[in-house]
Amino acid sequence: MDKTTTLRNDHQVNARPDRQTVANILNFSKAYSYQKTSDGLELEMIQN
Amino acid sequence: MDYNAMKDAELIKLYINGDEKALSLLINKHEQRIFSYILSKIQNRDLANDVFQDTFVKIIKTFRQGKYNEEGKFLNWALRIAHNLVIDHFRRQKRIPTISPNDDYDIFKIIKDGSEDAETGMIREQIEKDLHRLILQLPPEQLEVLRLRHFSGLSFKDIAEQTDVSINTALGRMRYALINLRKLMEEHKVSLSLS
Repeated sequence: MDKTTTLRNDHQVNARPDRQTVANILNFSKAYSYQKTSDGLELEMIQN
Repeated sequence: MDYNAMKDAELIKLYINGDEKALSLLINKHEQRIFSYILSKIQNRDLANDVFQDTFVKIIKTFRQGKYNEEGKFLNWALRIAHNLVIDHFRRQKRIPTISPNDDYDIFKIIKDGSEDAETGMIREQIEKDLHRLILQLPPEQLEVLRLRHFSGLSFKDIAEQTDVSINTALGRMRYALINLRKLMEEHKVSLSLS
């Protein structure tokens, strides 16, 4: 039976982002807000 | 509430309604697939983290702005966003100058090249999509001449016969097609350079 060899970098296949990156995303989510006014104006806000 | 048993659509609904934990679980569930994809293209962990973060910033904004289409599969959609951001990254990295189109350069020559690496291939794919989108905005008679000339390879004599117009009219339509395409490129800030 023929063997097929697949070359791949397992470190990359199983890679996950840094925890700090995920924390940044979650912080952004908490700080971000969006509003659309009655006249159609879109407002994006980032709270500190 | 058992978050772990929830489907993506349920987590997204909870998040949109203000449950931040649902977002955390959604990230945890898909971070490996999305990050691995980005890293496989960019080959730099720090930059891949940046692109991953930008991907989720876009996702969050789409959710909050009520623009998410629930019918689609979340992961496929997220990977498409990541893919587009990877292309943006390569475009920035290559510092592509925006070409000022003139009569002397042929946009169709730019998108035909022999060998290319993965990054160039991705950019080329995006350029072709951009160009195709713009071409479809041309008036029908100009679109027809453009198609017959550049995609079917017909001579202007053949185009004239096939479209039942004079050669001069066919040439004129081609000229206006290119003029309009350049205008559309400028309006949409489409750059066709690969290097």
